[in-house]
Amino acid sequence: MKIKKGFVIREICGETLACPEGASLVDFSMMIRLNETSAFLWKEFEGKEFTEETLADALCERYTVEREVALSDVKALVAQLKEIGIIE
Amino acid sequence: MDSTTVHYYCVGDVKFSVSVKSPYGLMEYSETVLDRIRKAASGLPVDALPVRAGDREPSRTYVRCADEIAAGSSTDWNFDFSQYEPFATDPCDQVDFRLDVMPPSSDPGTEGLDLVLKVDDTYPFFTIYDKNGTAVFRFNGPDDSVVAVLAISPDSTRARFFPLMTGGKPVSASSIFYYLNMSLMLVYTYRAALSDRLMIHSSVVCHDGKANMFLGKSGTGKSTHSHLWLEHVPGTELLNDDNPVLGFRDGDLYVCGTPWSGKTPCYRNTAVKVRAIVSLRQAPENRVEPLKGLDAYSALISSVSSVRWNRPVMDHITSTLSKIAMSVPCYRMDCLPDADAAHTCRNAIEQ
Repeated sequence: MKIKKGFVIREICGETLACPEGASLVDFSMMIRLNETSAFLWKEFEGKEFTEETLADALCERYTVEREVALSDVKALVAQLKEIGIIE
Repeated sequence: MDSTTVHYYCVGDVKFSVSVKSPYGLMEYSETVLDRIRKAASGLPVDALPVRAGDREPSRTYVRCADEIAAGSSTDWNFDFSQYEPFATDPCDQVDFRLDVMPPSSDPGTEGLDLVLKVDDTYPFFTIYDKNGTAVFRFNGPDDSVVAVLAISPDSTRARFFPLMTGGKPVSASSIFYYLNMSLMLVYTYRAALSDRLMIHSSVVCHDGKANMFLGKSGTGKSTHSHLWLEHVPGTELLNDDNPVLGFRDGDLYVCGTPWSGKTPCYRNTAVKVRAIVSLRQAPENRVEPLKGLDAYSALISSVSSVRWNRPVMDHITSTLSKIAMSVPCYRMDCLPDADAAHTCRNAIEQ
């Protein structure tokens, strides 16, 4: 799976946001607020194919966290992103 | 006879020139009209909205009727730039952008143009295209034919406005001015953003030395709210009723008047420090609450033209808005169109 094209990561009012700006995206009103780990993952995997496994791998490399915890966090994040329709 | 006249302006610290090629020129004004323009520009009260002879609706400019126009000028080939007069400056070598008004030509069509966006929710309808970084706007007239084309260079410093002939008929200045004015606003929006100066859809009043800005979608009542202040809060003045420009000077946020003020001819070449920005919402009560951080940013960004297809412009817009949201008190106000709304607002934002 991949993140849909057209998002720009911006630092706004001290937070990291994914802003929909590309022509291919239809709903421009929604910005996505990213916490530290989701911001890290987004920037790592922007434009690339990933799986829940590869995301968890990246988290474990960067942070001191148990693999099961990383994987369950990743599954939750991916589920959220799928729900708002930005994963293809 | 081929001739070109060049006119210089400065709006919100952004300098630009407008180069007008024959057969077009700019109207010249009688002393009466110039006097009215000067009075209005200094904030003194002017007469009720002037009406051009033969108009059904009040004109948006200061020109009252034909006999006030200097002898020798006509409206067929001369544009009425009176709303720009308060911003006129001396010629200078360095301008931030220039716009050339071209002689009428035939429609070059859309070959080689990549479609970016069709804008058909508000008048005038236009379609934006890209040609190797040059932005091309094609404006539709009342009968849906394309009446004018605007091309803006990739760095937003040069623009050309092409009035289009339809059926070989000449294109009068008065018929095309609306699109020329919109084009100037568009080029200004792009170029000013690159200098961290943002055009914003807002109605602005000045009271007690500072500016209070009212935001909201068209029809929400920004203009109404400003006029309630003018009526019920002594010492209030109108700065701009539709499209002022925001910018920081030495760390303080200022709002400036522009030649673009919607239906209210309030064209004031002045900059005032911003006290507060209030996003209005129609409701059955008058209530103000503070907006912070991203909530303030969201209110602001919905009042600014999101130029998503031009990355540098968008980068500047978002970073400047983020800074504004963090530096100036922002509020959301539920309001009624009554005197109490002005008083409630004032009590909340002026301490």
